[in-house]
Amino acid sequence: MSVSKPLGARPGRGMAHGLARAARRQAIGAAALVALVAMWELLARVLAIPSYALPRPSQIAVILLGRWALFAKHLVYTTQEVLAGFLVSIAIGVPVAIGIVYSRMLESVSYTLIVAFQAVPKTALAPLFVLWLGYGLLSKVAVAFLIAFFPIVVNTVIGMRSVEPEMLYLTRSLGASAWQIFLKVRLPKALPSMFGGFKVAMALAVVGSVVGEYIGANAGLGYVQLVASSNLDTPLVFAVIVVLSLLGIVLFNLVGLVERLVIRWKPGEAQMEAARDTM
Amino acid sequence: MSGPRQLTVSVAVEDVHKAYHGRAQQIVALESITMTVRSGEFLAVVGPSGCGKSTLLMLIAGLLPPTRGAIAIDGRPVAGPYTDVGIVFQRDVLFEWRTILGNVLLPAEIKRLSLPASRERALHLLDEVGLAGFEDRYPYELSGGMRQRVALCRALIHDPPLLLMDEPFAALDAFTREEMGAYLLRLWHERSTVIFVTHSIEEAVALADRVVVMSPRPGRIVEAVDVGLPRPRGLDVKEDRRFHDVVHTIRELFKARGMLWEKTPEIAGRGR
Ligand SMILES: Nc1ncnc2c1ncn2[C@@H]1O[C@H](COP(=O)(O)OP(=O)(O)OP(=O)(O)O)[C@@H](O)[C@H]1O
Ligand SMILES: [Mg+2]
Repeated sequence: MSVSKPLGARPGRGMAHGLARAARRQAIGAAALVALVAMWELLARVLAIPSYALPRPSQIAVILLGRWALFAKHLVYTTQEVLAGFLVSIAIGVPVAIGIVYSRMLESVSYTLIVAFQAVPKTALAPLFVLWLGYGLLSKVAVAFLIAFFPIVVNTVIGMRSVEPEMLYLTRSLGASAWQIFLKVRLPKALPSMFGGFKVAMALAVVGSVVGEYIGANAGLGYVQLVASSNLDTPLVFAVIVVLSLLGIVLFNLVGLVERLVIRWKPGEAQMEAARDTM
Repeated sequence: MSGPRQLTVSVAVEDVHKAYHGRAQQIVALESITMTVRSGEFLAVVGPSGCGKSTLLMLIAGLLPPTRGAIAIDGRPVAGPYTDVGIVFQRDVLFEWRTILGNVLLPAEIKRLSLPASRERALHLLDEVGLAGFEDRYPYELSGGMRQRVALCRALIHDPPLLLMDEPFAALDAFTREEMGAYLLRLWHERSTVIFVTHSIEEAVALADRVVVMSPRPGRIVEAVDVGLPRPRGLDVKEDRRFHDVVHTIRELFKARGMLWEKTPEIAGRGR
Protein backbone atom coordinates (compact mmCIF):
# COMPACT_ATOMS: atom_id res chain seq x y z
CA MET A 1 0.00 0.00 0.00
CA SER A 2 1.91 2.97 1.19
CA VAL A 3 5.41 3.28 -0.10
CA SER A 4 6.88 4.98 2.90
CA LYS A 5 10.41 3.85 3.50
CA PRO A 6 11.85 3.75 6.95
CA LEU A 7 13.79 6.90 7.36
CA GLY A 8 17.09 6.01 8.86
CA ALA A 9 18.98 8.72 10.63
CA ARG A 10 20.45 10.50 7.66
CA PRO A 11 23.56 12.19 8.89
CA GLY A 12 22.74 15.82 8.34
CA ARG A 13 25.51 18.30 8.78
CA GLY A 14 23.92 20.24 11.62
CA MET A 15 22.78 17.05 13.31
CA ALA A 16 25.70 16.20 15.59
CA HIS A 17 26.06 19.82 16.49
CA GLY A 18 22.36 20.13 17.23
CA LEU A 19 22.42 17.01 19.40
CA ALA A 20 25.32 18.41 21.36
CA ARG A 21 23.35 21.60 21.86
CA ALA A 22 20.30 19.69 23.04
CA ALA A 23 22.43 17.71 25.49
CA ARG A 24 24.00 20.89 26.81
CA ARG A 25 20.58 22.48 27.27
CA GLN A 26 19.40 19.49 29.30
CA ALA A 27 22.56 19.52 31.38
CA ILE A 28 21.98 23.17 32.22
CA GLY A 29 18.39 22.40 33.23
CA ALA A 30 19.51 19.52 35.46
CA ALA A 31 22.17 21.69 37.09
CA ALA A 32 19.58 24.38 37.85
CA LEU A 33 17.32 21.78 39.46
CA VAL A 34 20.16 20.45 41.61
CA ALA A 35 21.05 23.98 42.66
CA LEU A 36 17.44 24.68 43.62
CA VAL A 37 17.20 21.53 45.72
CA ALA A 38 20.52 22.31 47.40
CA MET A 39 19.32 25.80 48.27
CA TRP A 40 16.09 24.40 49.70
CA GLU A 41 18.08 21.96 51.84
CA LEU A 42 20.36 24.72 53.02
CA LEU A 43 17.61 27.22 53.85
CA ALA A 44 15.51 24.61 55.63
CA ARG A 45 18.52 23.77 57.82
CA VAL A 46 19.63 27.34 58.46
CA LEU A 47 16.12 28.59 59.28
CA ALA A 48 15.36 25.37 61.19
CA ILE A 49 12.01 24.91 59.49
CA PRO A 50 10.09 22.07 61.15
CA SER A 51 9.60 19.07 58.87
CA TYR A 52 5.82 18.99 59.33
CA ALA A 53 5.73 22.42 57.66
CA LEU A 54 8.39 21.92 55.00
CA PRO A 55 10.56 18.80 55.06
CA ARG A 56 14.10 18.96 53.75
CA PRO A 57 14.89 17.26 50.44
CA SER A 58 17.15 14.84 52.25
CA GLN A 59 14.28 13.77 54.52
CA ILE A 60 12.07 13.21 51.50
CA ALA A 61 14.81 11.17 49.87
CA VAL A 62 15.18 9.01 52.95
CA ILE A 63 11.48 8.23 52.89
CA LEU A 64 11.50 7.53 49.17
CA LEU A 65 14.33 5.06 49.55
CA GLY A 66 13.24 3.57 52.83
CA ARG A 67 9.62 2.92 51.88
CA TRP A 68 10.14 2.15 48.21
CA ALA A 69 8.02 -1.00 48.41
CA LEU A 70 5.03 1.06 49.53
CA PHE A 71 5.51 3.53 46.69
CA ALA A 72 6.05 0.79 44.14
CA LYS A 73 2.78 -0.91 45.07
CA HIS A 74 0.68 2.24 44.91
CA LEU A 75 2.53 3.57 41.89
CA VAL A 76 1.57 0.44 39.97
CA TYR A 77 -2.03 0.91 41.03
CA THR A 78 -2.21 4.57 40.00
CA THR A 79 -0.36 3.91 36.75
CA GLN A 80 -2.95 1.28 35.86
CA GLU A 81 -5.75 3.79 36.39
CA VAL A 82 -3.99 6.46 34.35
CA LEU A 83 -3.13 4.20 31.44
CA ALA A 84 -6.56 2.59 31.37
CA GLY A 85 -8.28 5.99 31.45
CA PHE A 86 -5.94 7.32 28.77
CA LEU A 87 -6.37 4.34 26.45
CA VAL A 88 -10.14 4.31 26.84
CA SER A 89 -10.26 8.02 26.06
CA ILE A 90 -8.32 7.36 22.84
CA ALA A 91 -10.44 4.34 21.97
CA ILE A 92 -13.62 6.37 22.34
CA GLY A 93 -12.38 9.90 21.59
CA VAL A 94 -10.81 9.21 18.19
CA PRO A 95 -13.84 7.42 16.71
CA VAL A 96 -16.12 10.14 18.06
CA ALA A 97 -13.90 12.76 16.41
CA ILE A 98 -14.01 10.86 13.11
CA GLY A 99 -17.78 10.74 13.37
CA ILE A 100 -17.89 14.47 13.96
CA VAL A 101 -15.69 15.14 10.92
CA TYR A 102 -17.67 12.86 8.63
CA SER A 103 -21.26 13.26 9.76
CA ARG A 104 -22.94 16.60 9.69
CA MET A 105 -25.62 15.43 12.08
CA LEU A 106 -23.17 14.01 14.58
CA GLU A 107 -21.24 17.23 14.26
CA SER A 108 -24.09 19.53 15.14
CA VAL A 109 -25.28 17.31 17.97
CA SER A 110 -22.13 16.13 19.63
CA TYR A 111 -19.70 18.91 18.92
CA THR A 112 -21.96 21.48 20.53
CA LEU A 113 -22.51 19.14 23.45
CA ILE A 114 -18.82 18.49 23.79
CA VAL A 115 -17.88 22.14 23.69
CA ALA A 116 -20.56 22.93 26.28
CA PHE A 117 -19.46 20.03 28.43
CA GLN A 118 -15.88 21.23 28.13
CA ALA A 119 -16.88 24.06 30.48
CA VAL A 120 -17.93 21.69 33.28
CA PRO A 121 -15.08 21.18 35.76
CA LYS A 122 -14.62 17.45 35.26
CA THR A 123 -13.04 16.94 38.66
CA ALA A 124 -16.29 18.14 40.21
CA LEU A 125 -17.90 15.03 38.78
CA ALA A 126 -15.43 12.71 40.50
CA PRO A 127 -17.57 12.24 43.64
CA LEU A 128 -20.41 11.04 41.42
CA PHE A 129 -18.25 8.40 39.81
CA VAL A 130 -17.06 7.15 43.17
CA LEU A 131 -20.69 7.01 44.23
CA TRP A 132 -21.71 5.10 41.13
CA LEU A 133 -18.70 2.90 40.53
CA GLY A 134 -17.32 2.33 43.98
CA TYR A 135 -13.95 2.69 45.65
CA GLY A 136 -12.09 0.44 43.23
CA LEU A 137 -10.13 0.99 40.06
CA LEU A 138 -13.15 1.62 37.86
CA SER A 139 -14.22 4.97 39.30
CA LYS A 140 -10.68 6.39 38.84
CA VAL A 141 -10.45 5.09 35.31
CA ALA A 142 -13.77 6.81 34.64
CA VAL A 143 -12.58 10.17 36.00
CA ALA A 144 -9.29 9.90 34.10
CA PHE A 145 -11.17 9.02 30.93
CA LEU A 146 -13.62 11.87 31.28
CA ILE A 147 -10.95 14.47 31.73
CA ALA A 148 -8.64 13.08 29.01
CA PHE A 149 -11.41 12.58 26.48
CA PHE A 150 -11.99 16.20 25.45
CA PRO A 151 -8.56 17.27 24.30
CA ILE A 152 -8.36 14.09 22.23
CA VAL A 153 -11.67 14.72 20.48
CA VAL A 154 -11.02 18.41 19.92
CA ASN A 155 -7.48 17.96 18.63
CA THR A 156 -8.42 15.07 16.36
CA VAL A 157 -11.29 17.07 14.85
CA ILE A 158 -9.06 20.11 14.34
CA GLY A 159 -6.34 17.97 12.79
CA MET A 160 -8.65 16.24 10.36
CA ARG A 161 -10.23 19.54 9.37
CA SER A 162 -6.84 21.09 8.65
CA VAL A 163 -6.59 19.21 5.35
CA GLU A 164 -6.09 21.66 2.49
CA PRO A 165 -9.02 21.57 0.03
CA GLU A 166 -6.55 20.99 -2.80
CA MET A 167 -5.50 17.70 -1.20
CA LEU A 168 -9.09 16.54 -1.33
CA TYR A 169 -9.55 17.79 -4.90
CA LEU A 170 -6.41 16.00 -5.93
CA THR A 171 -7.31 12.66 -4.39
CA ARG A 172 -10.91 12.85 -5.52
CA SER A 173 -9.83 13.71 -9.04
CA LEU A 174 -7.89 10.45 -9.09
CA GLY A 175 -11.01 8.54 -8.08
CA ALA A 176 -9.95 7.88 -4.49
CA SER A 177 -12.56 6.22 -2.29
CA ALA A 178 -13.66 7.81 0.97
CA TRP A 179 -11.66 5.13 2.77
CA GLN A 180 -8.52 5.93 0.75
CA ILE A 181 -8.95 9.63 1.46
CA PHE A 182 -9.29 8.89 5.16
CA LEU A 183 -6.24 6.65 5.29
CA LYS A 184 -4.00 8.61 2.94
CA VAL A 185 -5.01 12.18 3.70
CA ARG A 186 -7.09 12.91 6.79
CA LEU A 187 -5.47 10.55 9.25
CA PRO A 188 -1.81 11.33 8.50
CA LYS A 189 -2.64 15.03 8.26
CA ALA A 190 -4.27 14.90 11.69
CA LEU A 191 -1.55 12.92 13.46
CA PRO A 192 0.58 15.85 14.70
CA SER A 193 -2.47 17.55 16.15
CA MET A 194 -3.71 14.26 17.59
CA PHE A 195 -0.45 13.67 19.39
CA GLY A 196 -0.65 17.17 20.80
CA GLY A 197 -4.02 16.13 22.22
CA PHE A 198 -2.63 12.80 23.49
CA LYS A 199 0.08 14.58 25.47
CA VAL A 200 -2.37 16.90 27.17
CA ALA A 201 -4.70 13.94 27.74
CA MET A 202 -1.97 11.91 29.41
CA ALA A 203 -1.13 14.74 31.80
CA LEU A 204 -4.82 15.21 32.57
CA ALA A 205 -5.36 11.47 33.08
CA VAL A 206 -2.85 11.61 35.96
CA VAL A 207 -4.79 14.49 37.48
CA GLY A 208 -8.07 12.62 37.05
CA SER A 209 -6.82 9.44 38.67
CA VAL A 210 -5.35 11.21 41.68
CA VAL A 211 -8.44 13.34 42.21
CA GLY A 212 -10.50 10.16 42.05
CA GLU A 213 -8.26 8.62 44.68
CA TYR A 214 -8.65 11.65 46.94
CA ILE A 215 -12.39 11.22 46.90
CA GLY A 216 -12.59 7.59 47.71
CA ALA A 217 -10.04 4.83 47.38
CA ASN A 218 -8.14 2.23 49.33
CA ALA A 219 -5.03 2.22 47.17
CA GLY A 220 -3.02 4.47 44.86
CA LEU A 221 -0.68 7.39 45.37
CA GLY A 222 -3.50 9.86 45.97
CA TYR A 223 -4.83 7.60 48.69
CA VAL A 224 -1.36 7.37 50.30
CA GLN A 225 -1.07 11.13 50.19
CA LEU A 226 -4.49 11.62 51.75
CA VAL A 227 -3.66 9.27 54.62
CA ALA A 228 -0.26 10.92 55.11
CA SER A 229 -1.88 14.32 55.15
CA SER A 230 -4.41 13.35 57.80
CA ASN A 231 -1.51 11.98 59.90
CA LEU A 232 0.36 15.28 59.45
CA ASP A 233 3.15 13.22 57.83
CA THR A 234 4.30 16.06 55.60
CA PRO A 235 7.51 14.36 54.41
CA LEU A 236 5.43 11.48 53.07
CA VAL A 237 3.08 13.92 51.37
CA PHE A 238 6.07 15.44 49.64
CA ALA A 239 7.46 12.04 48.73
CA VAL A 240 4.19 11.24 46.97
CA ILE A 241 4.40 14.54 45.11
CA VAL A 242 7.85 13.56 43.89
CA VAL A 243 6.65 10.13 42.75
CA LEU A 244 3.61 11.63 41.01
CA SER A 245 5.78 14.19 39.24
CA LEU A 246 8.10 11.47 38.03
CA LEU A 247 5.11 9.43 36.87
CA GLY A 248 3.76 12.41 34.95
CA ILE A 249 7.11 13.11 33.31
CA VAL A 250 7.65 9.48 32.32
CA LEU A 251 4.15 9.05 30.87
CA PHE A 252 4.29 12.37 29.00
CA ASN A 253 7.62 11.44 27.47
CA LEU A 254 6.29 8.02 26.61
CA VAL A 255 3.68 9.68 24.41
CA GLY A 256 6.41 11.92 23.00
CA LEU A 257 8.50 8.86 22.18
CA VAL A 258 5.64 7.18 20.33
CA GLU A 259 5.05 10.50 18.55
CA ARG A 260 8.62 10.61 17.33
CA LEU A 261 8.39 7.00 16.15
CA VAL A 262 5.18 7.67 14.24
CA ILE A 263 5.83 11.19 12.90
CA ARG A 264 9.10 11.06 11.07
CA TRP A 265 8.39 13.74 8.51
CA LYS A 266 8.97 16.73 10.75
CA PRO A 267 12.30 18.39 11.19
CA GLY A 268 13.99 16.46 13.98
CA GLU A 269 14.87 17.97 17.32
CA ALA A 270 18.53 18.16 16.41
CA GLN A 271 17.76 20.11 13.25
CA MET A 272 15.44 22.43 15.14
CA GLU A 273 18.24 23.08 17.58
CA ALA A 274 20.60 23.78 14.71
CA ALA A 275 18.06 26.20 13.21
CA ARG A 276 17.64 27.94 16.56
CA ASP A 277 21.40 28.34 16.77
CA THR A 278 21.52 30.27 13.56
CA MET A 279 18.81 32.71 14.65
CA MET B 1 -5.47 0.47 -16.90
CA SER B 2 -7.11 -1.29 -19.78
CA GLY B 3 -5.21 -1.31 -23.00
CA PRO B 4 -2.76 1.26 -24.26
CA ARG B 5 -3.97 4.61 -23.14
CA GLN B 6 -4.92 7.35 -25.44
CA LEU B 7 -2.26 10.02 -25.50
CA THR B 8 -4.45 13.08 -25.50
CA VAL B 9 -8.09 14.04 -25.24
CA SER B 10 -10.21 16.90 -26.50
CA VAL B 11 -12.28 19.00 -24.13
CA ALA B 12 -15.56 20.61 -25.13
CA VAL B 13 -17.13 23.22 -22.87
CA GLU B 14 -20.63 24.03 -23.99
CA ASP B 15 -22.49 27.10 -22.68
CA VAL B 16 -21.35 26.54 -19.11
CA HIS B 17 -22.59 28.70 -16.26
CA LYS B 18 -21.48 28.42 -12.69
CA ALA B 19 -23.01 30.23 -9.74
CA TYR B 20 -21.92 29.82 -6.14
CA HIS B 21 -24.36 30.30 -3.33
CA GLY B 22 -22.65 32.88 -1.18
CA ARG B 23 -23.78 33.78 2.30
CA ALA B 24 -26.02 36.64 1.22
CA GLN B 25 -26.42 36.37 -2.55
CA GLN B 26 -25.52 34.25 -5.50
CA ILE B 27 -22.09 34.78 -7.00
CA VAL B 28 -22.01 34.15 -10.72
CA ALA B 29 -18.49 32.94 -11.35
CA LEU B 30 -18.79 31.88 -14.98
CA GLU B 31 -21.29 32.96 -17.59
CA SER B 32 -21.86 31.20 -20.85
CA ILE B 33 -18.43 29.71 -21.43
CA THR B 34 -18.08 27.86 -24.68
CA MET B 35 -14.71 26.61 -25.84
CA THR B 36 -13.05 23.62 -27.34
CA VAL B 37 -9.60 22.39 -26.47
CA ARG B 38 -8.15 20.32 -29.27
CA SER B 39 -6.60 17.00 -28.53
CA GLY B 40 -2.93 17.56 -27.70
CA GLU B 41 -3.32 21.30 -27.47
CA PHE B 42 -1.57 23.42 -24.87
CA LEU B 43 -4.16 26.01 -23.93
CA ALA B 44 -3.47 28.90 -21.59
CA VAL B 45 -6.21 30.84 -19.82
CA VAL B 46 -5.54 34.40 -18.67
CA GLY B 47 -7.91 36.73 -16.92
CA PRO B 48 -8.21 39.01 -13.92
CA SER B 49 -8.40 37.65 -10.40
CA GLY B 50 -11.79 36.24 -9.47
CA CYS B 51 -12.98 35.78 -13.05
CA GLY B 52 -13.54 32.07 -12.51
CA LYS B 53 -10.42 30.44 -13.93
CA SER B 54 -10.01 28.01 -11.04
CA THR B 55 -13.71 27.31 -11.15
CA LEU B 56 -13.43 26.44 -14.84
CA LEU B 57 -10.68 23.91 -14.13
CA MET B 58 -12.71 22.36 -11.31
CA LEU B 59 -15.67 22.01 -13.65
CA ILE B 60 -13.56 20.38 -16.35
CA ALA B 61 -12.09 17.96 -13.80
CA GLY B 62 -15.64 17.07 -12.79
CA LEU B 63 -14.96 18.13 -9.21
CA LEU B 64 -17.78 20.69 -9.32
CA PRO B 65 -21.02 20.45 -11.28
CA PRO B 66 -21.87 23.30 -13.64
CA THR B 67 -25.04 25.22 -12.86
CA ARG B 68 -25.94 25.03 -16.53
CA GLY B 69 -24.37 23.69 -19.68
CA ALA B 70 -22.23 20.64 -20.26
CA ILE B 71 -18.63 19.57 -20.49
CA ALA B 72 -17.44 16.62 -22.52
CA ILE B 73 -14.02 15.03 -22.69
CA ASP B 74 -13.47 13.19 -25.94
CA GLY B 75 -17.19 13.36 -26.53
CA ARG B 76 -18.08 11.72 -23.22
CA PRO B 77 -20.00 14.00 -20.86
CA VAL B 78 -18.26 14.75 -17.58
CA ALA B 79 -20.39 13.72 -14.61
CA GLY B 80 -18.32 13.26 -11.50
CA PRO B 81 -14.53 13.30 -11.28
CA TYR B 82 -12.71 12.64 -14.53
CA THR B 83 -9.97 10.44 -13.16
CA ASP B 84 -7.51 10.38 -16.05
CA VAL B 85 -6.18 13.78 -15.15
CA GLY B 86 -3.13 15.36 -13.62
CA ILE B 87 -3.66 18.53 -11.58
CA VAL B 88 -1.12 21.08 -10.39
CA PHE B 89 -2.24 23.84 -8.05
CA GLN B 90 -0.63 27.13 -7.11
CA ARG B 91 0.29 25.62 -3.75
CA ASP B 92 2.30 22.46 -4.22
CA VAL B 93 0.14 20.61 -1.62
CA LEU B 94 2.74 17.92 -1.20
CA PHE B 95 1.81 15.42 1.51
CA GLU B 96 4.34 16.37 4.16
CA TRP B 97 4.21 12.89 5.71
CA ARG B 98 5.31 11.22 2.50
CA THR B 99 8.77 11.15 1.03
CA ILE B 100 9.32 12.79 -2.34
CA LEU B 101 9.01 9.42 -4.03
CA GLY B 102 5.91 8.63 -1.97
CA ASN B 103 4.36 11.91 -3.08
CA VAL B 104 5.04 11.25 -6.75
CA LEU B 105 3.62 7.74 -6.41
CA LEU B 106 0.37 8.86 -4.77
CA PRO B 107 -1.73 8.80 -7.97
CA ALA B 108 -0.33 5.39 -8.90
CA GLU B 109 -1.31 4.06 -5.49
CA ILE B 110 -4.80 5.49 -5.61
CA LYS B 111 -5.32 4.20 -9.13
CA ARG B 112 -3.73 0.88 -8.16
CA LEU B 113 -1.21 0.91 -10.99
CA SER B 114 1.71 -1.47 -10.97
CA LEU B 115 4.03 -0.10 -8.30
CA PRO B 116 7.39 -1.34 -9.66
CA ALA B 117 6.67 0.23 -13.05
CA SER B 118 5.38 3.44 -11.47
CA ARG B 119 8.41 3.60 -9.24
CA GLU B 120 10.67 3.40 -12.22
CA ARG B 121 8.71 6.11 -13.98
CA ALA B 122 8.72 8.28 -10.86
CA LEU B 123 12.49 8.05 -10.57
CA HIS B 124 12.78 8.91 -14.25
CA LEU B 125 10.51 11.95 -13.88
CA LEU B 126 12.39 13.17 -10.80
CA ASP B 127 15.62 12.77 -12.71
CA GLU B 128 14.20 14.82 -15.58
CA VAL B 129 13.44 17.74 -13.28
CA GLY B 130 16.82 17.59 -11.61
CA LEU B 131 15.69 15.91 -8.41
CA ALA B 132 17.55 12.61 -8.73
CA GLY B 133 18.75 11.57 -5.29
CA PHE B 134 15.99 13.42 -3.47
CA GLU B 135 13.47 10.57 -3.56
CA ASP B 136 13.82 9.65 0.11
CA ARG B 137 13.73 13.23 1.38
CA TYR B 138 10.69 14.80 2.97
CA PRO B 139 9.01 17.91 1.51
CA TYR B 140 10.19 20.19 4.32
CA GLU B 141 13.74 19.59 3.13
CA LEU B 142 13.06 21.09 -0.32
CA SER B 143 12.84 24.65 -1.66
CA GLY B 144 9.62 26.05 -3.11
CA GLY B 145 10.75 25.50 -6.69
CA MET B 146 11.86 21.94 -5.97
CA ARG B 147 8.56 21.19 -4.27
CA GLN B 148 6.59 22.45 -7.25
CA ARG B 149 8.71 20.26 -9.52
CA VAL B 150 7.70 17.29 -7.35
CA ALA B 151 4.06 18.35 -7.72
CA LEU B 152 4.60 18.40 -11.49
CA CYS B 153 6.02 14.85 -11.41
CA ARG B 154 3.08 13.75 -9.27
CA ALA B 155 0.66 15.12 -11.86
CA LEU B 156 2.42 13.18 -14.62
CA ILE B 157 3.18 9.84 -12.94
CA HIS B 158 0.08 8.13 -14.34
CA ASP B 159 0.73 9.62 -17.77
CA PRO B 160 -2.64 11.40 -17.90
CA PRO B 161 -4.06 12.50 -21.24
CA LEU B 162 -5.22 15.74 -19.63
CA LEU B 163 -3.18 18.10 -17.48
CA LEU B 164 -4.90 20.90 -15.56
CA MET B 165 -2.63 23.56 -14.11
CA ASP B 166 -3.94 26.37 -11.90
CA GLU B 167 -1.34 29.13 -11.71
CA PRO B 168 1.24 26.45 -10.96
CA PHE B 169 4.22 28.78 -10.89
CA ALA B 170 2.59 31.89 -9.43
CA ALA B 171 4.16 31.44 -6.00
CA LEU B 172 7.69 31.21 -7.38
CA ASP B 173 10.25 33.93 -8.06
CA ALA B 174 10.71 35.09 -11.65
CA PHE B 175 13.87 33.11 -12.24
CA THR B 176 12.53 29.82 -10.87
CA ARG B 177 9.36 30.46 -12.81
CA GLU B 178 11.13 30.55 -16.16
CA GLU B 179 12.98 27.42 -15.21
CA MET B 180 9.72 25.67 -14.33
CA GLY B 181 8.29 26.58 -17.70
CA ALA B 182 11.23 24.90 -19.35
CA TYR B 183 10.82 21.79 -17.17
CA LEU B 184 7.14 21.65 -17.99
CA LEU B 185 7.75 21.82 -21.73
CA ARG B 186 10.41 19.14 -21.46
CA LEU B 187 8.16 16.75 -19.51
CA TRP B 188 5.07 17.52 -21.51
CA HIS B 189 6.54 16.42 -24.84
CA GLU B 190 3.17 17.12 -26.42
CA ARG B 191 2.00 13.96 -24.70
CA SER B 192 -1.16 15.39 -23.18
CA THR B 193 -3.73 18.09 -23.56
CA VAL B 194 -2.91 20.96 -21.19
CA ILE B 195 -5.09 23.69 -19.76
CA PHE B 196 -2.84 26.16 -18.03
CA VAL B 197 -4.22 29.04 -15.96
CA THR B 198 -1.93 31.97 -15.34
CA HIS B 199 -1.90 35.68 -14.59
CA SER B 200 1.19 36.23 -16.66
CA ILE B 201 0.52 37.01 -20.31
CA GLU B 202 4.18 36.38 -21.13
CA GLU B 203 4.10 32.97 -19.49
CA ALA B 204 0.91 32.07 -21.34
CA VAL B 205 2.33 33.05 -24.72
CA ALA B 206 5.69 31.40 -24.10
CA LEU B 207 4.12 28.06 -23.23
CA ALA B 208 0.81 27.74 -25.04
CA ASP B 209 -0.51 27.10 -28.53
CA ARG B 210 -3.53 29.26 -27.85
CA VAL B 211 -4.41 31.79 -25.17
CA VAL B 212 -7.98 32.25 -23.97
CA VAL B 213 -8.60 35.71 -22.57
CA MET B 214 -11.33 36.04 -19.97
CA SER B 215 -13.30 39.04 -18.73
CA PRO B 216 -13.72 40.03 -15.08
CA ARG B 217 -16.41 38.30 -13.05
CA PRO B 218 -18.76 36.98 -14.23
CA GLY B 219 -16.12 35.31 -16.35
CA ARG B 220 -16.71 35.18 -20.07
CA ILE B 221 -14.39 34.36 -22.89
CA VAL B 222 -13.28 37.56 -24.60
CA GLU B 223 -11.17 35.99 -27.26
CA ALA B 224 -8.90 33.07 -28.05
CA VAL B 225 -5.57 34.15 -29.51
CA ASP B 226 -3.46 31.75 -31.56
CA VAL B 227 0.19 31.92 -30.59
CA GLY B 228 1.65 30.21 -33.62
CA LEU B 229 5.20 29.96 -32.32
CA PRO B 230 7.03 26.84 -33.47
CA ARG B 231 7.81 23.88 -31.22
CA PRO B 232 9.92 22.65 -29.64
CA ARG B 233 10.36 25.91 -27.79
CA GLY B 234 13.10 26.97 -25.47
CA LEU B 235 13.43 29.96 -23.21
CA ASP B 236 14.57 31.97 -26.24
CA VAL B 237 11.00 32.26 -27.57
CA LYS B 238 10.84 35.43 -25.56
CA GLU B 239 13.28 37.00 -27.98
CA ASP B 240 11.08 36.12 -30.93
CA ARG B 241 9.25 39.01 -32.65
CA ARG B 242 6.11 36.94 -32.94
CA PHE B 243 6.17 36.41 -29.14
CA HIS B 244 6.07 40.15 -28.53
CA ASP B 245 3.37 40.66 -31.12
CA VAL B 246 1.08 38.13 -29.45
CA VAL B 247 1.78 39.51 -25.98
CA HIS B 248 0.97 42.96 -27.32
CA THR B 249 -2.27 41.74 -28.91
CA ILE B 250 -3.44 40.24 -25.63
CA ARG B 251 -2.50 43.33 -23.65
CA GLU B 252 -4.51 45.44 -26.04
CA LEU B 253 -7.50 43.14 -25.49
CA PHE B 254 -7.30 43.81 -21.77
CA LYS B 255 -6.69 47.52 -22.19
CA ALA B 256 -9.68 47.85 -24.49
CA ARG B 257 -11.78 46.61 -21.58
CA GLY B 258 -10.26 48.99 -19.11
CA MET B 259 -8.45 46.20 -17.34
CA LEU B 260 -4.86 45.94 -16.19
CA TRP B 261 -2.58 48.86 -15.92
CA GLU B 262 -4.53 51.47 -17.85
CA LYS B 263 -6.43 52.26 -14.70
CA THR B 264 -3.32 52.25 -12.56
CA PRO B 265 -0.59 53.67 -14.76
CA GLU B 266 1.95 53.82 -11.95
CA ILE B 267 2.07 50.04 -11.83
CA ALA B 268 2.45 49.66 -15.59
CA GLY B 269 6.20 49.73 -15.92
CA ARG B 270 6.86 47.55 -12.89
CA GLY B 271 5.33 44.24 -11.92
CA ARG B 272 5.50 42.95 -15.45
N1 LIG C 1 -16.65 27.94 -2.92
C1 LIG C 1 -17.05 29.16 -3.29
N2 LIG C 1 -18.13 29.73 -2.74
C2 LIG C 1 -18.55 30.94 -3.13
N3 LIG C 1 -17.94 31.68 -4.05
C3 LIG C 1 -16.85 31.20 -4.63
C4 LIG C 1 -16.34 29.91 -4.29
N4 LIG C 1 -15.23 29.69 -5.03
C5 LIG C 1 -15.08 30.77 -5.79
N5 LIG C 1 -16.03 31.68 -5.58
C6 LIG C 1 -16.19 32.97 -6.25
O1 LIG C 1 -16.24 32.74 -7.61
C7 LIG C 1 -15.46 33.68 -8.32
C8 LIG C 1 -14.44 32.96 -9.17
O2 LIG C 1 -13.52 32.29 -8.33
P1 LIG C 1 -12.24 31.56 -8.92
O3 LIG C 1 -11.46 31.06 -7.78
O4 LIG C 1 -12.66 30.58 -9.93
O5 LIG C 1 -11.47 32.76 -9.62
P2 LIG C 1 -10.03 32.80 -10.28
O6 LIG C 1 -10.18 33.35 -11.64
O7 LIG C 1 -9.38 31.48 -10.16
O8 LIG C 1 -9.29 33.87 -9.37
P3 LIG C 1 -7.73 33.97 -9.04
O9 LIG C 1 -7.08 34.43 -10.30
O10 LIG C 1 -7.66 35.01 -7.97
O11 LIG C 1 -7.28 32.62 -8.61
C9 LIG C 1 -14.85 34.57 -7.27
O12 LIG C 1 -15.57 35.77 -7.26
C10 LIG C 1 -15.01 33.84 -5.99
O13 LIG C 1 -15.27 34.75 -4.95
MG1 LIG D 1 -7.69 30.78 -9.09
